[in-house]
Amino acid sequence: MSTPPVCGAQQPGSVPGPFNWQGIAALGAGASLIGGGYALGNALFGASTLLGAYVFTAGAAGAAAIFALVFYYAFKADGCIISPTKGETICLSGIVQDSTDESSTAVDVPAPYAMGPAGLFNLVVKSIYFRYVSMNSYWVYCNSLGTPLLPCVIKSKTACGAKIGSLVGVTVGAIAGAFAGYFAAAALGAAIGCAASGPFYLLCLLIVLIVAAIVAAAVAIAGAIIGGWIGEGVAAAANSDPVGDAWKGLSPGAIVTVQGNWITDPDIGNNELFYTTSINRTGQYPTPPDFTTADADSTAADDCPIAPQPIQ
Amino acid sequence: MSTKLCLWFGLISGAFVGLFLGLLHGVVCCTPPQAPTWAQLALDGVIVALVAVSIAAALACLLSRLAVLPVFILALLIGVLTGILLGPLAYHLPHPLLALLLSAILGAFIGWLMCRVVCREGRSLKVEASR
Repeated sequence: MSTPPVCGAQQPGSVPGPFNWQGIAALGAGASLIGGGYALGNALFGASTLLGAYVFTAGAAGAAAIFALVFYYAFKADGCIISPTKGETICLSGIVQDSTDESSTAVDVPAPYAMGPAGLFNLVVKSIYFRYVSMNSYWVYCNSLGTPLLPCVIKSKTACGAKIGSLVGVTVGAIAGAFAGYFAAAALGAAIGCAASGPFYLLCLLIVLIVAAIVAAAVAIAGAIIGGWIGEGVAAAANSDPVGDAWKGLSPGAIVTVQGNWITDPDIGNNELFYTTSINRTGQYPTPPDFTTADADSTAADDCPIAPQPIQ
Repeated sequence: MSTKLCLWFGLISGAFVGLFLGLLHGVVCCTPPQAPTWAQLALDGVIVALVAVSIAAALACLLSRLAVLPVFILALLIGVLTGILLGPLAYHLPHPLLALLLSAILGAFIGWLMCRVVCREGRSLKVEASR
């Protein structure tokens, strides 16, 4: 039996994460939209009143902020539009320690563009697979008995549809929102009559600009949510999901052989399967959790084609 | 995590203060025209920054499942500081898009600085906001 990895921190230093280019791209997209809104506002309303152009720009800024937010989530490297970090495809086996449903109604309903993985299960691996838990990692998760675990992440069947739907929805919503914000703020400005507010003139105009931005942002986010729901519904109806279905059937103690994309998590630094591409259930361990490596080693031979190299 | 959060809060509040106060550049009231005072511009900046950063904090709590209270306290501190410092500056810049760019950069710097100061305490906002 190989020496088990130490639980917790493995090496000093921070996890070398990939450059956050989607954050920069989202900022660029937002700034470009504000610039475009400024130019469009001047072209449409600048001839009649300069403040009209400014109100439209404020609305465009509110809508652009929401667009940038949805853009950021849509272009995350999660296997939807952008592929996840490419690691090594591995096969290993062990006993399922526990399984967690990561989906959250509190996030999925009001923010479908931010949907994450469907869930994950922690695997007590056989000792011949210890290298997959510890090699190059910054952190090793263990259960209460100190047995090392490998998290196996399950891709959501509907997240991709929700993200693409949100991206389409926010594009439509942002355009509509900029105009809706302009008209709402113009109506408010006319109603409260900023010209008569004396020393509070600037504050009054500012409130009009803020209202334009908030109305535009609200319309844009409504577009993103509705688009996301539609996309989610289409994805749920169209896609089959054998891995997700197999994962839902797993309970603690299930003996499985799994395959997937083996990477180091960029936030925590633990090794994991992101995503799990195959789950083959081969039995059920007779006792309840927690499990040890000896328990995993005592199960029948797995059906992985090649045994891994030992740790150097 | 919390450094990123501070940077984002500073950047967002700074960008909106820059754009909105920049849009009001040269707008004066009354006859004869009276230029707004520094205090008026700081107040305007704080109002814009607080609205922007409150929405950003609410979204951050929703999407990243962060603890609400420390995130909003952090947002409040950053919003007040960026509003007071950047409101008068943005108003006096000649073009709103220039004001947006400059204020966003300065806002991000203020946010980063705020994290360096606030998040060094024992039971700090950094720990709370990283949950």
